[in-house]
Amino acid sequence: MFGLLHRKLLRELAASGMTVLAIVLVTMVGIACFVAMQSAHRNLSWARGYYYSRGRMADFWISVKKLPREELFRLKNIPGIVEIQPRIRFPVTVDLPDQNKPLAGVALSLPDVLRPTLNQIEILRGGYFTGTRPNEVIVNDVFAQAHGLRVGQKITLNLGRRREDLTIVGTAFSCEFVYPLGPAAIVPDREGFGIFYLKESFAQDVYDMAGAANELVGRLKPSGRETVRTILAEVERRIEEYGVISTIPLDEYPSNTFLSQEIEGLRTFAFIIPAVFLVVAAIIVNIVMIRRIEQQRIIIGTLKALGMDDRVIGWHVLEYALVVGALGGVLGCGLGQWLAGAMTQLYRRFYEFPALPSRWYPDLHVEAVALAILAAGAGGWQGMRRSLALEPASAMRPAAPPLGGSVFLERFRLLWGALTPPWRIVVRSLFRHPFRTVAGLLTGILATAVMSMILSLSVGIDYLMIFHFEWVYRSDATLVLKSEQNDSVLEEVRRLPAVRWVEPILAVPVTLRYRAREKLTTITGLRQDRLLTAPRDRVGHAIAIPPVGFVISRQLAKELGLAAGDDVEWRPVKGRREWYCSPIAAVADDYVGTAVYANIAYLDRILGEECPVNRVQLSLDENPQQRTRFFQELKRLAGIEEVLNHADMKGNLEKTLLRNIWVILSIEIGFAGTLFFGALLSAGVIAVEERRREFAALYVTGYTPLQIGGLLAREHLFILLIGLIMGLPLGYVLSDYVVGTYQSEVLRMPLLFPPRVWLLTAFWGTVFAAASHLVVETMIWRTAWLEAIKANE
Amino acid sequence: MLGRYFGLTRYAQSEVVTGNSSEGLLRVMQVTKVFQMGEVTLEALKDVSLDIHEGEFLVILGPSGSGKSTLLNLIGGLDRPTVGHVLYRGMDLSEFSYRNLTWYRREVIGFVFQFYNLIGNLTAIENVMLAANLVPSPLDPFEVLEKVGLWERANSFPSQMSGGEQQRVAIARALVKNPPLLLCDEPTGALDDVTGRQVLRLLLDLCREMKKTVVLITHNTAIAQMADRVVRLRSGRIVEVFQQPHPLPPERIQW
Repeated sequence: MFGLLHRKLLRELAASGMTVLAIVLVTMVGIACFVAMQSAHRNLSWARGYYYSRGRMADFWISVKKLPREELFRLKNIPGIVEIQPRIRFPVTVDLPDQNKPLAGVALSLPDVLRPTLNQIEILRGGYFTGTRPNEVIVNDVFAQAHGLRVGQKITLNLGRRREDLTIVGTAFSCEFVYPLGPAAIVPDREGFGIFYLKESFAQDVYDMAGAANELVGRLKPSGRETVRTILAEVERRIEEYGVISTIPLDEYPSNTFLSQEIEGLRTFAFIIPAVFLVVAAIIVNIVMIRRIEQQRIIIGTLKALGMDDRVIGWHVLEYALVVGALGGVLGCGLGQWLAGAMTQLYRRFYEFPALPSRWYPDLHVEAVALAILAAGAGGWQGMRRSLALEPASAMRPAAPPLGGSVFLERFRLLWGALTPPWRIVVRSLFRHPFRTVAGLLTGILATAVMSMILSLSVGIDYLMIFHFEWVYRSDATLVLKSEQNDSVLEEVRRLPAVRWVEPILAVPVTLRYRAREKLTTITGLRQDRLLTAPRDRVGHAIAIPPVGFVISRQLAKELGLAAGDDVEWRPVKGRREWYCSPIAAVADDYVGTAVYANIAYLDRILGEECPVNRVQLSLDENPQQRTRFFQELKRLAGIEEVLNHADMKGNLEKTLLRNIWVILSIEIGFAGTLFFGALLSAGVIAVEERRREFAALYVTGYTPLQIGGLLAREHLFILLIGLIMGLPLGYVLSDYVVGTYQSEVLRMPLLFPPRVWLLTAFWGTVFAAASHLVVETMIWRTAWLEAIKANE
Repeated sequence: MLGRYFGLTRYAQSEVVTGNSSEGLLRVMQVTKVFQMGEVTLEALKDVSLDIHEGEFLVILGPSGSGKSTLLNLIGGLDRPTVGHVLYRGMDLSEFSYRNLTWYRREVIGFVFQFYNLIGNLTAIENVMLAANLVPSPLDPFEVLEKVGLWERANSFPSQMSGGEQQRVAIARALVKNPPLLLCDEPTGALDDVTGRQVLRLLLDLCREMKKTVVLITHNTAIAQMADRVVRLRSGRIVEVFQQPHPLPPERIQW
């Protein structure tokens, strides 16, 4: 009995075309997203956990001006701290023969002799420092590979005031540079930013740091991680006279923040997207199953009359849904595994783990298929109940004719009178199948929500890029000077080739204090008439630099509980360490990092600075040859610690991020489109089957297949339209939820939902709806309507 | 287990319900059936009593709407009377549990429908086997198919068969369970007269040779001529019951 019913089932499945296709498609995409995102999530989480623990990732980074090592005893016995290690860290530039401009990098000191450290490097090629030469360097492996640097080769680094030729002894990976960000960048540039490890003794020598350090890294007890900010405040208090420039806990450490935000984001997506798809799949299953029970009521009645058990019949009915769900699930697992591989491949370009394998997680696949089956089962449940409720005697009579009568709208005579008969058919059919109409609406709303969320996020990323790199930071390069200088440096820079415009910056590392809260940050002093740095408000209007007081990032203001008009206390970490008080003139919106802006003249007045410049920002000629000349000339200029090449950074951003985003966005739009496609396809196919007699009658009356299809198109258009209108708010809520996982000091995703998103959602929704209607229309063309009018269903 | 799942082994379960056979095969006692359809109450059967004897060929005759299908459904255990009792070998169907009613339909009744109600995507033999697998000791499906003369069409799907052939498959499906009682609802209603007569011959042969009790309902008075006994229904009441000591063979019936 089981076997024969299975044969019936398999033959039905083989014969049922489009509706099963719609269910399988939607389930498959949902499950694929689930498997892909969960797998990618696990791959990344695994790599993070594995490499962080293997390398003993630090829990905090403290940057100081210069701390004698013998003073480290002051930090002993701070509860919560397991160990603290001093090291030397400086920005460097590197001259490579194949590059016509110096590249940025960071130099870090390591013990002369290999011993365990925090952020332990892993040597990938070559070896550790030898005892023979002082000037040896270990280069991060990715940079070395990008430039074909080999062990034994020499490279030239500009270290502080000295140019040094160093011998590469090895290449390495470090867990603290998984996402190796150059200065002011938000995506890694594996060619343009290098990490150079120097011998401790050598670094002390070249940086004039004998017996001292300018960075501390430390590890906390697990219990200490929750109170990390209190602990860091205590550390800061004990060594404050050595100039604490910044204290960064792990969760604000950029490399970790970017990685962890992505992992969190994946988890959010891996929940939202599959949930929506499976709900839509369940709705389609529900409609298809109820329809199927209607079609098979006589068969079910007959089986009951033959004496078949209800349990067997119910199971047989439900099994159809389960098999279809399982099919979608299994296909989804395959597609998902492939996608997981592709995503992980993509992550390998951004996150530089020595190995980031894309694994196969059997439990995840089992869970995925179970979810697919569960969704289909939930969708099929009502159909099964109906099959059980069928009385054999009445089931074998043909179904009662559908309810007729006028619908609610007909009471509005004026409105009703204005409708042409085809529209009346449409409206009546919508109102006479309220459940189906509501189900259609629901799928429309969900599809719209997902589509608009995806579009909103992509608009947000676009906006973030434009906002940050074109509106706020508009310079082509920033020169970081080794020390404060007077205005004459501007003249010097202006004389370099290709320089079009020069502006000074005075960066003052400070502690901000408001009520009990303190925060280490840097005040950026700008000239009132500055053009190259323009803080902006939420809608992108430039905020003037006030003559008195600060403009502060919204994120910082939120952290300190500040609002415009409040007075904030601040104290420089270097020089005369006194508390000053300044008003907050305005709050600026930004998405990358945080900043406090002030008028350079205002800072001078308060600090009594004689040399009001420690950075120079500039705009350059577009001509690439001229630019190259600029960077070559720059090498000769003394007193430059670091060059931030914004132009190249933007180029890199375009290259690595935006190109990938287009691929990802198209896939996402395609996926969201399957919701529209699947939902409308199943609705259309069912309508064509169910209303054969009605359509056949219209056909005989002289309607063309195109006009018959038009009736359905109108119905779907109506549902699509309402779904769009109602789905957009839900899309906004979803976007808000997702954007919420990308909010950190380092990077904040803006939540944008402009009319462009509505229009694009409507556009793509219509495109996919039209595609599904094309299939339905083809079905209508192929139906032999004259046969349909004679045949019994 | 897998074999059962894929139909390689047979599966059936049976609960034996035993009754008292001296009471006659089936007894309909003062049965009334009321349908509530919205605000309209329809009395389909009014105080109907009827005995069905073992081995007889009984024709229930009546125009459409006379309640004959309702009566058949009550006898077949597809429906329960509003008032009154249906007794099978002395057991009251109205006191049967849902499970027992399913057992009754499975093992006592073989249904033959006007529109055959074959399962469209199972072949002839599969349709028969589907019913065979419901009972613990069915007849051999192939033999039954041979008996109804469709040995060669065993692997045809219903859509590939004529109406008469489909009805013979439906009869085979009813017969394969080896039930004592065959209930036929207008079995020739959708057939032309030649094939109709063949189907009637088959049913008569089953009654005579295999000692099956056949209850056939029809609005076609001509068919009544082949019955051992005829019950006339009109407007939910039995208006006439008469014996025919010399029924005509189906071949000689004209309609």
